Amino acid sequence: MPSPELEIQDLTVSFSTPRGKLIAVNGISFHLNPGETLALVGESGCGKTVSALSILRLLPEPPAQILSGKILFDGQDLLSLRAKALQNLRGHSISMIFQDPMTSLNPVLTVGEQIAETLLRHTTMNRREALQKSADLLNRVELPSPKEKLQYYPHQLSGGMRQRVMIAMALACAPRVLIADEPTTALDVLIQAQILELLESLKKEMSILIITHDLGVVAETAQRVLVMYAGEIVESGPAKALLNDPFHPYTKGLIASIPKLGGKKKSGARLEEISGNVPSLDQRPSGCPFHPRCSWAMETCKTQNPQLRKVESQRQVSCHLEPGSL
Amino acid sequence: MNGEKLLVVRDLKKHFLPKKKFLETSPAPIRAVDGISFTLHEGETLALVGESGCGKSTAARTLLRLIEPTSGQVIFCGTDLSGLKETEMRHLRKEMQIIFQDPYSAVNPARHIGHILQEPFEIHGFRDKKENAEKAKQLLEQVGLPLDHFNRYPHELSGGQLQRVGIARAIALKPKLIVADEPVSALDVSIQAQVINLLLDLKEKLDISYLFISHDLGVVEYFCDRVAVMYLGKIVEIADSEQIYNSPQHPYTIALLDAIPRLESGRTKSKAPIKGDIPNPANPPKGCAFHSRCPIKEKQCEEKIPALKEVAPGHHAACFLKH
Repeated sequence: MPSPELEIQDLTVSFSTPRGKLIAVNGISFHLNPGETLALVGESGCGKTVSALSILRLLPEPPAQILSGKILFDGQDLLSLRAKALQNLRGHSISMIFQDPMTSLNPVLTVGEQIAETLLRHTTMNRREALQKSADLLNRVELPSPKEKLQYYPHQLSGGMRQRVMIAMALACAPRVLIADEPTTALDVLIQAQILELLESLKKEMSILIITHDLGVVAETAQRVLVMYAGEIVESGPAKALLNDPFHPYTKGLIASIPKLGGKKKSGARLEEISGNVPSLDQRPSGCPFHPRCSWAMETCKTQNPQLRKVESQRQVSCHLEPGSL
Repeated sequence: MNGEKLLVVRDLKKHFLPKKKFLETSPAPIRAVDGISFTLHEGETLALVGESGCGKSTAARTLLRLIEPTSGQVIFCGTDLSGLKETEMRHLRKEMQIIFQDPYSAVNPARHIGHILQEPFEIHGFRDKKENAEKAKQLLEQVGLPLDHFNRYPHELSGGQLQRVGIARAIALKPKLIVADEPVSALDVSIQAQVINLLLDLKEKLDISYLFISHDLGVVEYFCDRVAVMYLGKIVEIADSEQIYNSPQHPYTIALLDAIPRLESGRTKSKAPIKGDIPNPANPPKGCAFHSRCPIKEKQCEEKIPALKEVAPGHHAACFLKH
């Protein structure tokens, strides 16, 4: 087993709000292997984006505060690095792409200037070389007529093109780790297919952590999956096994509630649903955070929060029930 | 499904004129909706499907006359809407309601839920305050919200709960038609299923017809009897749900279905995604609007516009190569 590219240990993140200190991520641990594509899945408010942003310390602190944990990359703890050292890392060894390419690109700089900025910051290239390399990168992400596009401003591009520019920026310094936060959520389904195809072609070159709420995207891209609920990892395992045979009632419910093509004939007109709502951070239920919505909940679930435990060689679940008994 | 014709749309167009720039002669109109026709029967659910910018939301708003059509006819319950005055239109609006995509921007944040639900009654001349409040409470119950939400404000509700309020408001006056404009796309997966099931239940109970606007073909299959696929302001294929999913005819429909990420399979390598973006509606490609992205296009597609033709009983598609 090679040592992981990136390792997160016992990460806890809180936010100070008028309602008090709210825990958004509650002691999660995971790792990303070299060359692996790992998906972090969950609904809004489950802490998946906060976890991802913590890795590069991109959360505004305050109100955010990393209460505990370690983020190990290259033998050093990113949480103990100084600002300067972190800046050397961002966009160089670890890059990130965001959900909404319109708000993540600078509207008053041309595409070329924005990509070149990364190169000028991290390499010894001069401006001309950096712009040349930027055009190459746009070509790499299959943006038509890349030389011309260097002169464009973000508003002149469509959503799919902007996302390609974001990816080109992230690739500029050939990072070892790419964090993609809902990279296709804002896009139409045909454009989503194009971007997923592009990410697929990057897999050989880097480790990818993809954050999404869409289990279809997970099935198409990831080798391994972590399912998050209320700030905790409730299940993890290889994508195929986990999606075919989920152990946690939440994962099972989530998969069942997706309208699948051809599903109407199989299961009748109604969709299976998970009752209730995702708990807000200040109303975290006692015991297992999923128990108010769980149809298998027992007395113990109300008082004791189950620990994430190993159930098969590569799978973990945090549930009091025996896996396979759903 | 064999019910009366509830809504007949004939050659509906909505062109937007962009602002004239300095020294520019007349700018090309943006053909957001460019001649669509369809019929919705009583008790039927029809989906309008397409990518963003294809004109599906504009179509919905135009046929409710929330924006004025450029040309074309909308006949609702036998009445042609285009000639109606505002007062007559308001009267008819009781029968045709809309649910919006983003429940937060669809309600007044300064009014409590009870007030929001009483408003339709007040607007339509029901003056008895006590009775209106009583009806609002019944609506809460109908959409599965607890009664104590009556005095809450929109920001105190989650997206799913607030969408239920939007639905309650839409069914308040017992309409015949509800236009649902992407009602679940802003919601989380586990909440989406709840809201779709609620809409299905209400259809059964209240005998409502839906015009369901969506970009998600997975949701549409669950929900709809018939599907119309739109591309650049035109309907390119319309058929029964089953026909669309089992034997799609238009290459655009086929591409849309192929592009849906599937849970079961994992990535299928043979998949060749459609290249490029949806073209600018102000400057659409000549001939078939889809030819610039079409994997099977021929010479004639670049020159002539294919008409919507029947390819099987009840199944219409606009493609030269399919008929």
